[in-house]
Amino acid sequence: MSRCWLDGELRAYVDRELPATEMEAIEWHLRECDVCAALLRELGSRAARVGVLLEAMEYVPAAAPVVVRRAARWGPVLVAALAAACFVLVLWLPKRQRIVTPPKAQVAASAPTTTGNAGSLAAGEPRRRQDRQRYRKAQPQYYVALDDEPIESGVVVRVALPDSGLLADVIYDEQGRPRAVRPLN
Amino acid sequence: MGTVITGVQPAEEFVLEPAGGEQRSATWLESVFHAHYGRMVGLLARLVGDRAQAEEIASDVFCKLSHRRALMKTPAALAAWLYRVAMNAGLDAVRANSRRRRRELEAGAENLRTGAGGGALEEMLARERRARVQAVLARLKPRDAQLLLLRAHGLAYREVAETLGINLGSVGTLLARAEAEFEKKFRARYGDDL
Repeated sequence: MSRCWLDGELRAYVDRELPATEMEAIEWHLRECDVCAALLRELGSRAARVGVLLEAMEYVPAAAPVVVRRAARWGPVLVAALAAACFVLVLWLPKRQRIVTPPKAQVAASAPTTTGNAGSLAAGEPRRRQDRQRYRKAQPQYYVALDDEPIESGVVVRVALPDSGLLADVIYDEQGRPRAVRPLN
Repeated sequence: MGTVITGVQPAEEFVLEPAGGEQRSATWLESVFHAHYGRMVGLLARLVGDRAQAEEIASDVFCKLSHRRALMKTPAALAAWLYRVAMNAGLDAVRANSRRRRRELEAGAENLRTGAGGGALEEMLARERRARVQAVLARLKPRDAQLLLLRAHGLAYREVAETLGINLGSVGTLLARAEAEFEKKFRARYGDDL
């Protein structure tokens, strides 16, 4: 019987990394030596198991966990954004009502063409009607320019036509000319 | 009268090179970079599981090489030095990444619970297997880990011997020992779930 082979040589035999003559010699020896054959099987199966494990080291792009991390990261941001939106809404709503309701200081009560009863809704009216009126006034109403010249300054006068009951805000410039008008009903 | 320089240390010898040495070393560094960078990044990406991190580590290795110009004179030791430094840096990164790996595994488990993604289970299992292999590799002797990784990367025995600076005839022996050690540590840590 030929000589037994070392485990390193048998391991190289598994990988077929030996010269052809040695490969052939080992093949012949394995036919007659059970010890070397058993050692070869052990080395080969271990190499296969370790090889499978090391195959797990193949590069895997980090895709799936990112979804969860993003969700976790965006969660607080979304909550903060929602809170900020609510805060802005709370601030904006009363302001919007103030804008729609003309300030009394802007209404020239002494103007000859005014009715002088712009604030009459506030006195003696049922609360419900006041609210309805305010809601109606909250609809966006825009001033319509009566000419092409820019308006630098002026006075807002609330006027009413006695017969038809039409109500409007008119902007008068410094020369007393009406420059823009906004219907209120 | 010329200045007499005494006691020149090996690290300083290239600093005192005549003009033209700088250009020569730059060319040398470039050729080494072209010869080894791709393979090094591939190995490191397999080891650390992150290509960007692998490129970063490889860049650091070549930065260190630029300060080790003495290796110009010993090309045989160059590859061994390069891969030893790269693998050690990679194994350090694997140890440092353990927290990130745990987070990724937790995220994978969360994906599994929520049913996000098609192969959530397979993905999570693959990540766990990879984390286990990395953990065991990080506990092996550096040369054993290098040997296993180089072989798993498909290098022939001759290339492994050149890269690690070992005798070709001893690759089989060292590989068999490294595999036995890997399996022993893996079983000790994770049981028979190979």
